[in-house]
Parts: sequence; structure tokens; C-alpha cells
Amino acid sequence: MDIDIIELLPNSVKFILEDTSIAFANAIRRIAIAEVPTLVIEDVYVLKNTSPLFDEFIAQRLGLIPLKYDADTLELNFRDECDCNGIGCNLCTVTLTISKETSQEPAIVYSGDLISSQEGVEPISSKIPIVKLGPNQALELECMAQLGTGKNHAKWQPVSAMGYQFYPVIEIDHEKIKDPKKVADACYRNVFSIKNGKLTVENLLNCNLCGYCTDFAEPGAVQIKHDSSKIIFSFEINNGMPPSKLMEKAGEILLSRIDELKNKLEVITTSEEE
Amino acid sequence: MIIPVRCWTCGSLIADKWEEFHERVENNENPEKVLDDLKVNRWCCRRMLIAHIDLIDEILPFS
Ligand code: SF4
Ligand SMILES: [Zn+2]
Ligand SMILES: [Zn+2]
Repeated sequence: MDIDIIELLPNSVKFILEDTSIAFANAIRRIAIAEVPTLVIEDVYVLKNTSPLFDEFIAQRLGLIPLKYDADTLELNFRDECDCNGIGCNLCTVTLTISKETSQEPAIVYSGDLISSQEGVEPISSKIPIVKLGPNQALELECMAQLGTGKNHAKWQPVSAMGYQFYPVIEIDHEKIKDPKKVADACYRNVFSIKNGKLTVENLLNCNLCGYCTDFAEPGAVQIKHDSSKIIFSFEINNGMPPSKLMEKAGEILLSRIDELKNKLEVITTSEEE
Repeated sequence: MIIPVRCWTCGSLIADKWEEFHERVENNENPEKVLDDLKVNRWCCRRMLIAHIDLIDEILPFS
């Protein structure tokens, strides 16, 4: 399997997976969305809230704030698998607090006002507005962040817009085309250009296989096919983890699942032999 | 009310971009260009910022 990177930004990536199948790409996608653990706020204790928003409203907004968390430097347990039996301790919970009061001037409470008890855990952006306080209002909260996975709640999902498509293969029969300009203009993703009066493929990777352009060409003149062993994969990261790290984690989880299946099968087959 | 923290459709963070977006659009910049600058690419996220009306100031006195 080969990986060919098309675009790599700090929080998003687009690459081509070669010599693979759609089933494999989907396995990676589903694990990345539903199984890679991340850290977000789950419980909020409201000590004082005289802001215009309800406690629940504020708690919901806090829960959606993505927190920076590096699984390699900070080892946390899932709360229900922790030795504390789900009560919450240092090994499974990170506490963040907010306390803000206004006098005459209104002020916005930002995610930057969250004070974390754990080094390395903080909101990925300090500019997320949580609530606005009017004159003489106060907000005092204690938040408990814990590990979780996307299958329990979408707030734990480390990626967004994760998807893939087949690699496009466009076949053009120049003899049959009467009006190349019409076909080139039909594509709204600027895949084609006209060179020497001929229709040529300029940005192949932009093609999303919609087939719209074929309606503007003579029958069989432009054929949109795909190569099913090559997959264009793209996603965006929500919680500040580098994209390569996420793929690594997803791969580890996939392998551990396969090992688990193999071990169980071995136990069953050996017990049947006896 | 107040800008939602994440996009309703795809779940990516948008709330941190609201203040810059709002300020620049108030200064008569083209919203399309501002969104491109802020790297808000998908239209699910773009509509979150474009269609948002901040009403928090109206309810501020009611604590
Ligand atoms: S299939 Fe769609 S995206 Fe691809 S070239 Fe034709 S019109 Fe453009
Ligand atoms: Zn614990
Ligand atoms: Zn979106």
C-alpha cells in the first residue's frame, strides 16, 4: 500500500491510498470517527451562575469545546475502566475551572478563562465565547473532562468531514466531440481546459465522478470511470492532534480488534476439537 | 443567541472565528473573502457564520 499526499495542512489532510480496497478505507474511517479516544468536558458543577444563559446551556457549550490532549505524554483511563470505579480520580479526570465576575462593564467569558489542573490540557483555541456577562453578573464553574469515543457522543469525535472517493479516470474520444468548450464549461469543478482546440484534463483530482459533463458531450465521447484500487481520502482534525497521529491511532485500534477476533476464534476452535 | 461552538453538520470548531468574521464584515469586507481567509471551506460551516445573528446583548439584563 502506498500513500501519496496531495495536501497537508496543520489540521487537515488529503491523500491517495494506492493498492487498497474501499472496505479498508471504510474500516479506517469508521474507527477514526467512532473509536479514537479524545478528552472533553463531561460533568459541570455550577457554583454560581447569574449570567443570562441557563446552567444547561453553558454546560452544553463547555462540552463542545475541543481540548488539547496528547495520549503519549498524559496517560488517562476511561472512567468506567478506572480503578476508582467511575467516581472520578486523577487517573481518569482532568478538572478545569472558570471564575469570572463583572462590575460595571459587560464582559465575554472565553475558553481562555478555563484554568486547567493538568499541564498540556487546554482548549485548542482561547477565543471561543462561552457566555456574555452583563454588569454585576458572575459565573463560577468546575468542569470535569474525561476520555470518551465518538460512538458515545459526537463531541468526542476527533475528526470532521472524513470521507473518501475513488480515483477518477477520464477517457476522452477527441474524434466524437464536436463542441469541446461546451463540455469544459459544463464541469463546475474546473476539471477540463482547452488546449489547441482539444479538450484536455487539467485538474484530475478535482473530479468528484458526478458524470454531469457526459450530458454535454456526444454519447461515449467523454467517459467517467474510476480506479477502484486507488482511493482519495480526506479529513479535518478537530482537537489539534496531527493528522498522521490520528491515522496511527486508528491503525493501532484496528489491529488490536483483529487480534482480539483471532484470539477468540482460536479459543473456540481449540475447545471444539476437544 | 450566541454563536454555536461547533458546526451543526460536520462538528468542526467555528466559534473562535466569529469575532474576526463579524468585525471584518462590519468593516464592509466581502463575507466570501473573509470566510476563505479564515479557512472555513465547507458550506455547512460557512452558513453557520453567515446566518448567525448575535442576540446575547438583548437578553443581557435578564440574569
Ligand atoms: S464527472 Fe463531474 S466533476 Fe468530473 S469532470 Fe465531469 S462534471 Fe467535472
Ligand atoms: Zn479514576
Ligand atoms: Zn461544517
